[in-house]
Amino acid sequence: MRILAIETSCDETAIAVLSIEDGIFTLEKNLVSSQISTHAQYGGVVPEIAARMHTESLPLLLKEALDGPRPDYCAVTAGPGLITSLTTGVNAARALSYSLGIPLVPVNHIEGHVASNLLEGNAIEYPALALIVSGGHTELISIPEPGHYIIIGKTRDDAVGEAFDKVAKILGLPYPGGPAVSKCAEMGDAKSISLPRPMIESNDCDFSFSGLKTAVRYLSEEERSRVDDVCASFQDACVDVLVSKTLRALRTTGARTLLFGGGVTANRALRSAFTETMSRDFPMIPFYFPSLSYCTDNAAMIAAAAYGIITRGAIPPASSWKPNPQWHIDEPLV
Amino acid sequence: MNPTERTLTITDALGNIHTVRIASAEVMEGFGEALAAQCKGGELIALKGDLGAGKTTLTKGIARGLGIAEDITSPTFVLMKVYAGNKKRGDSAPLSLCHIDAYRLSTWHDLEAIGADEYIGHPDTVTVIEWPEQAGVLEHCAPAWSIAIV
Ligand SMILES: Nc1ncnc2c1ncn2[C@@H]1O[C@H](COP(=O)(O)OP(=O)(O)OP(=O)(O)O)[C@@H](O)[C@H]1O
Ligand SMILES: [Mg+2]
Repeated sequence: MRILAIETSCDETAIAVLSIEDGIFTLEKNLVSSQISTHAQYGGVVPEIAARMHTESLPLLLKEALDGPRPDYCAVTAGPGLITSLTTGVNAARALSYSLGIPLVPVNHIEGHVASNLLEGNAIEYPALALIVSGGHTELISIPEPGHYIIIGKTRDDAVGEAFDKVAKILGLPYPGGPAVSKCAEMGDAKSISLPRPMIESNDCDFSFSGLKTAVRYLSEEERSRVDDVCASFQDACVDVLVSKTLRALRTTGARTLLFGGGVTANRALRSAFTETMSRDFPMIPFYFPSLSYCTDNAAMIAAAAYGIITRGAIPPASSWKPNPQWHIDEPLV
Repeated sequence: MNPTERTLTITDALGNIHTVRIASAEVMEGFGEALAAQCKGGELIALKGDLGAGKTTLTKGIARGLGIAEDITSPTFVLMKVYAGNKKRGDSAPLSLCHIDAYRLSTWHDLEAIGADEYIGHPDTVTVIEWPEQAGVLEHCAPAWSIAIV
């Protein structure tokens, strides 16, 4: 089976071709046309520009992706994301599926991040738990069996990647803020500035990051001028909360595998904190970080998720759905 | 400076200005709830203020006042979130909340590109927009309330 997948939920235009024989994945094409340098001029994603860039990039990437054997399925991200960007990808996918006469598989972007772990042949034992952290998402997802997702924790305000971007802005660092903050953090002292650990004691798996952004804003001028220390202390606070809530979720769900996904998983401090804690507290539970190229938005993960949907016979009729910018992973697409 | 104290400068549609002092995040939500009680549908509420001033926190209160049970999360990433109203208020239909964040936008045209103009002013919807100055909102519409948070 060969799946062509299109991902345009935010600022990356991405297309992948994944072939699967006897359950073995071979990634034949993995094309990403990053728009970040264009958006950096604006300090973020401008939807009109994003949609236009996708419209310009898609035909070029498609031409390259279709230069090979014909795909059997077309997969596309149908949400969550920016509505204009999603619509551009879905329209292209619909046209392709119609003209090639192949089924169209809508995929939830978050399910894609979870499935990024399948691309490297990791053995997942169920129930599994996934922590998905990015610019738009902070979610702990329990996966009792393949294809069954339950959101057991999420942010009540800002996503963790959003908090990184906004703290970078407050400190005058460049966009995107995540890499800028973690780079400064490497030179700072994480214990030198006291910042809150929002909701770390709460009796659930939810998160809150808006208070950290505000705490940075209200630091004294002297403290705020020590940019490296602020970054290190802020990153430390974020990682502390993420680790603590994930451990709570592992205990309450009895998960047997821990998966990670999303752009913030590229953060080195996060990786080393989890590696240390897991080998100390849960040495029997395997945990997987996707390779760096699969952490950020890509289409290979959408193809991997589509493979699961196809094998479960769960493709919805093409006429029953449209892109949904607020599609929750635990709800059907309508 | 007490980091939880905020001052709101509120300008209504007639140009009347008054200020309100808010002591905490809880009081801010309570203020939003009271504001929602005055809404009949079609209102636009513009929220100005720096990063972390409390615009989304105030919007959480507005949502509660409209009887919306869902968690209001930051719309910065997806730019716009719409929440269906679910409480009968008097005889009128429930009001939906359209929550827009123009932080990453740069023109009114961007707002049209995400379909926001279909919600602004709609009689069944209360629209809250953070960072209105980023998208030239005030040149295109007259908010029922324009609120600056410092
Ligand atoms: N008096 C107050 N009013 C509002 N929020 C307060 C107050 N005191 C403390 N806070 C805290 O400050 C934070 C405000 O963050 P919030 O996301 O609401 O700000 P915002 O103005 O929407 O920021 P952004 O520009 O990033 O959208 C929250 O964590 C809130 O609990
Ligand atoms: Mg906000």
